[in-house]
Amino acid sequence: MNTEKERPGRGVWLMPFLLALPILAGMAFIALRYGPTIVKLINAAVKATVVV
Amino acid sequence: MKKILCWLLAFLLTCTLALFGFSYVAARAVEPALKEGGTPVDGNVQQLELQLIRKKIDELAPIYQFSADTAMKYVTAEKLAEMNDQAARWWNTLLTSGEAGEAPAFDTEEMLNAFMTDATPAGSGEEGPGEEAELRATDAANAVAESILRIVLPMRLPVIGIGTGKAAERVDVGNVVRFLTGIRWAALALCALLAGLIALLESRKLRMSLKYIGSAMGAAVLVMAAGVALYMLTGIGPLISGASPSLALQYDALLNGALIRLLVYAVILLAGCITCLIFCRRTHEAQAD
Repeated sequence: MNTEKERPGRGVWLMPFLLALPILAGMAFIALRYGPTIVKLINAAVKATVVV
Repeated sequence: MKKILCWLLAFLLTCTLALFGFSYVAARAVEPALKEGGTPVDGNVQQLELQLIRKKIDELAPIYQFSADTAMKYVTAEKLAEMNDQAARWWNTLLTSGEAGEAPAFDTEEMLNAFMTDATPAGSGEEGPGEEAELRATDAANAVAESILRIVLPMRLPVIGIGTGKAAERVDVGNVVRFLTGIRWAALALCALLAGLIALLESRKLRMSLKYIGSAMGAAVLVMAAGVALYMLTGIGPLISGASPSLALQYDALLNGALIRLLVYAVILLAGCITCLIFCRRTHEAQAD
């Protein structure tokens, strides 16, 4: 069995993950860094505009 | 150099495909509200609203001393539909002109007359209830009308009016909303341009251009899935449910439609990704053989 021929072809399935990686990392960073603040702002906006 | 450029274009294509997905779904959710008359409220939502109104009237009845059944006779499905139409027109005015229009109003005249009749002591010979009972009936009818308004349009209308009024002084709210709904077409045009550039750069090898375009499609699905997961983590749904059960009904109906559209778009992208990458791999294997 010639595995050397198959390896480059199989690698294409990794490409979507590689392309998404920087964006996912950016999203994770924003979520961790600013997530609680964003949630607090949404919470305040809902409380200010919605009749309880 | 060409490879770096292709990777960069594929990365940009990923961003624009994800942007198109999110902006398309958001625009489809907002667009019906921009049409004349606004978004018609779903029949199931109206049924649930009717149940909430019944519950609220049952709570108010002992406080204001009126019969909940009498009140419910005048809260018909037709009247509720009319209230929802008024609320839809209010949203339409807000989104198209940036002004908070006239708030929906529930006609309490018939209900008030029924409360007055109930309050009149039987066989007393009096034509109407006493002054105190009349005031109580008026308060009860007003409380019912306010509760219905809060269920149909559970927003602090004066606060929104002041906010949009201030915003309208600086920007044309209608134009901004129309611009935001148009972003999806700009994103789609950019997607076509980027895919075209990749195909142009790899014009000699169709396999390679499909590899980049297919990968960008798959990556966009991953990004959108992460976006939905982040949304779920923020807990906006439970927050709205906690603030107002009636707003949660309308929000859930809107969100379900949006999620289905996003899912359909993700499936299309995934199918495109798999087709492109399988084609790429088979061509590669055929060339290797």
